[in-house]
Amino acid sequence: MKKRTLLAIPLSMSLLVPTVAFAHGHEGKVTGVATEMSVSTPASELRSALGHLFTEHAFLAVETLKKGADGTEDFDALAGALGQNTDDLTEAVSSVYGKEAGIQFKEIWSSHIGYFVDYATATAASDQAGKDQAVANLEKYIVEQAAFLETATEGRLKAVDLEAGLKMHVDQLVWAFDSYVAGDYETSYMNEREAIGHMTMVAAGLSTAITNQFPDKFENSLAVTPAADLRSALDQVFTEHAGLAVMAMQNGVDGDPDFDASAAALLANADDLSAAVASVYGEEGGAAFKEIWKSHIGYFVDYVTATANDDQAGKDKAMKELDGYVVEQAAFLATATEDRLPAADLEAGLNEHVDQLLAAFDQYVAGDYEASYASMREAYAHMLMPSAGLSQTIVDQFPDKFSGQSMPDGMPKTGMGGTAEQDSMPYEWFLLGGLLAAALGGAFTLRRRSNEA
Amino acid sequence: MKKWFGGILGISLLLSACQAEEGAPEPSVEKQEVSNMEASTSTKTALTLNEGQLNASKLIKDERQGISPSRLRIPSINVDAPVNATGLLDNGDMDVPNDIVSTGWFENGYMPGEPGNAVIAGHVDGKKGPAVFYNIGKLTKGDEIIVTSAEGQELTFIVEQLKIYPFDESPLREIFGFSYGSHLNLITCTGEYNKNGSYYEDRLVVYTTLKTT
Repeated sequence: MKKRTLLAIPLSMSLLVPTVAFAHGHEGKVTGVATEMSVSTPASELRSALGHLFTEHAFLAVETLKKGADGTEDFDALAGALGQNTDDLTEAVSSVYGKEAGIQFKEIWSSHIGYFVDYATATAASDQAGKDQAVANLEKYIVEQAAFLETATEGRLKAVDLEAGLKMHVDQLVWAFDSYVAGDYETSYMNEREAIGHMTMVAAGLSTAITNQFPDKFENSLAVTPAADLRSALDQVFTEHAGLAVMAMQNGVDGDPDFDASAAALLANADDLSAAVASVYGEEGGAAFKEIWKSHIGYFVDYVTATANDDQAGKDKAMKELDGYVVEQAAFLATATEDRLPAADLEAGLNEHVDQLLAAFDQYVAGDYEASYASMREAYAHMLMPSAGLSQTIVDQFPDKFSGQSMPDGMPKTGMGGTAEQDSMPYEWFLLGGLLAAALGGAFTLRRRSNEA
Repeated sequence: MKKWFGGILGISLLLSACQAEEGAPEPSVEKQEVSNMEASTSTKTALTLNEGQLNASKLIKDERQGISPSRLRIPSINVDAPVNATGLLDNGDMDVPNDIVSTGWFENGYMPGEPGNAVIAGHVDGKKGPAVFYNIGKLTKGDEIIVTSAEGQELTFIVEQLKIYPFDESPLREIFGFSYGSHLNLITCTGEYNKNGSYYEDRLVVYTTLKTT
């Protein structure tokens, strides 16, 4: 039995562009069964890494803005975590396009975070002119960021597409923030989740453009394949789980008015994850997974409750229940995957997840915000491991569902030579003539008139 | 074969569809909460997990959806042709329609309208004369291409640029691959006709982008 990558160390940013390209005999073909059936090709690793950082950016940005509006003590630490995310993204950009491009990227990217903060500050001060100025700056940012990426990818990403994508990102963040300030927490959390999800498509687009630009460096692998799509989808729900869990726990212990909405967002994420499990292992499997998965959310809430009540016995009980959960969850996944994911590995991974979330929470309660947000980022990144392990296992288990070839090996044969033999002139010549006579419509008309002339 | 986890939109649609069907079965979390609340009646905080669905007054999301095209119109060059779904030949090349009046949509790839590059190919000529895509080389930036599904959904694409490639050096990943934007690329033959091999040496690709309102 092969040991899966559940506990593997994730690729560091410096490895985003593999320096050693294996000389597979691809014979100019862009696809191949061997490549398509892996969730961890060089291209899909890039996609996953970018998806991690982009989704985390959206999550951290919304949370930072909300803390800014509330003027909470941990604002600086959270803003610092958002800054670290920017540094990681910059490193990724530098690894592909060089240091200078990285610096340029960082300047542009950081500017939009600054404008968002301006917007939050102006909102807190009821300063409409300041808000308008921030929105105007964000619009300028969109154009600048789109131009940067179009140039970097040598036109593989189109400015018009980029501007549409960036505008959606800005609109989602602003709206999630505005509705939070207005006390409409459900709208805020739903739009936050949309904003996180939207970034996965941005990552798919950018990783496709980069791998098309440097195919050799990525062993000609594709960022978007059915297997890579599964991994990306699981990356998104697993990482989002960690982020939303940390925030729900904070809201719980602080007695924040948005606790219910944030917990509901966390449960909606659990529903998405369960639906993904159900789509592979059947409705019954999905329901069983959901029950176990939600139980651990409940135990975390117990822990938060006990913490708020200074109830050590309650905390101990919750931790004991979490221990039981880890065993149960690992057994479920080991069985579902026919032991492709060994229970012992799963338990180790789940224990890490539990420890990271408890650490992020305990440090928050203790007022050590920097440590708390470092733990949160760790917990967020850690979720990529179960995602990679589970997605590869699913692909191995159900290969037929991921074997579809979505790209041809060659262009279609769209001509039989009938017009070539007729006039034996190159089509380009006809193209020129056609442009001049476009209004005449129809090749026959054009020819007849040419002959008459 | 329909792609199972076809694209990111695919899975999110799948997820939300499954979600909508759920009859909200109460998981063990609730039971847990009950015992927890009993245990903590003497204290102030008793958090419960509310199973209620979230509702948004407004949800900003990507609304783009692909259609399965059945008709293609290009008013500027008087094309109005049926579209048939096509796949791969045994050698892995994109298949083409059997006749010269209809066009072929590459159904293994992307649907027109969803994020990604959808592809429709048509013959430039038949054995004796011009075919459905004989004039697409005349298209210029800004021309409109309209595709319609059998159910009557209509999408308009705007011509961005035309490019000619040697048939075996065409950038397949960029013509057929994923993109954040919704694109529709038309393909036909051009260049010298190789009589011995019975094929045209080059391919003409018309790149277009979904028109948004």
